[in-house]
Amino acid sequence: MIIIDVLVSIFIVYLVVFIIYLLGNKKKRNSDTYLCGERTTAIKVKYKVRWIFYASLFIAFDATIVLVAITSLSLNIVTIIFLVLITLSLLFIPKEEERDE
Amino acid sequence: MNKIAMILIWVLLSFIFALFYEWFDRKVYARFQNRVGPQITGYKGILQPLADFIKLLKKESIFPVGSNTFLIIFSAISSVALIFFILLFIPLYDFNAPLSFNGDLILLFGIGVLIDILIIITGYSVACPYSNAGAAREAEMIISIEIPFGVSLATIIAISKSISIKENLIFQSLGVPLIIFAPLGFIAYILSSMAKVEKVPFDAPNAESEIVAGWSTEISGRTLALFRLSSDLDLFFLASFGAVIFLGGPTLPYFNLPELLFFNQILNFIILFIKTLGIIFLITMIRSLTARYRIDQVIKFFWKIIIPLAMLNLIAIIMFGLG
Repeated sequence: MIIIDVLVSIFIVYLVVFIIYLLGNKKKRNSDTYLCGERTTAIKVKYKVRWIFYASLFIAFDATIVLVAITSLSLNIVTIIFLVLITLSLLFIPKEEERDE
Repeated sequence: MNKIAMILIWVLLSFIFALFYEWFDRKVYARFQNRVGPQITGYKGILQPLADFIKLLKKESIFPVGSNTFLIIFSAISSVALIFFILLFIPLYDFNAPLSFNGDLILLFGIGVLIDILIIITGYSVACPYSNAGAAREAEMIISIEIPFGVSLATIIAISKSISIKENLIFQSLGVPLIIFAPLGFIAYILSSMAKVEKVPFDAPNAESEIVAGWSTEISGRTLALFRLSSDLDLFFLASFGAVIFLGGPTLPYFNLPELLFFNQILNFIILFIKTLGIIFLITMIRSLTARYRIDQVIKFFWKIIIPLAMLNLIAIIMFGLG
């Protein structure tokens, strides 16, 4: 029953927002980008390897949150050890390079 | 039919309150800077956010050549619709909201991440270097701010031993607000909420002095109107959600209103309204008193200070069995 409620709610809110969108000005045109009329293409942002560590930790922590949430009714020593270990993993974040100011 | 009417009323209320809280935020922010803020449209400028919204809605949309227009429009509509949807889980005047089930806290967390990802999609869909840089910054920020946000929710779950907003509220109405047990979790929640709605000092993804307007540089017309509305709704959602899970929502500690009479519901509604206003005032005060962090500083701040503090609170709760 709750699934039907959720689906109906999502349908209604999308419908409402779409109607609001349709009430707006329908005129649409393409133009050059902001850079003083100079045509540019999408740039690729350079990533440092450090971001991969952050991203990996992000995934691990995100999984932890769900895990803790699900096991919240029967939290035990294993959960605590797991949380401590994952907190200690923050120490493995590579040292920041000094920025030239 | 009753349910549909309730959803529509909730959506309308959310819309009105989101615009009201934007006005309050702008007014307080202006007062902190010794300005008067909006004051022409309506009483003390209270209708200014609505006027801005209508004005943007009525302007033509311009997209840069080479942009993925469908993705931009889809993201704009989805970001507003999804926030309207998660606002249906917020109980405004008693323990019940239009939507509620066991596990809704996790769903809200998940949809919150999804809304942030829509911003990244928008930034990368626009063929403009500023938008791309803003999207990249947003992506970098998400991997830092979602964790303390989630850990603060996990702390609440560990205390109340429930993954439902309703049960969480009942738990608080029988005792004290959970902020007493999770002060560090509350700090983490507020700061990560500020970063989620890109408020100073965590507004690196749309830093106007560096990358024009970041991911929203080339967004205009009704698409921009929807994105701005989604930002207002997000602020309203985060403040009211924080008021519900940390401050007891529409209830007062040790003060139960047993009969759900109309008067009691009004009183409860006012209590939640004041608590939400308090959180928005706190956010506005922090953004008035601080300067923007660089993106690397934001990441360092969250990973090295806020996440360990939030985790410390969570571990302490679990170890000492508080709550």
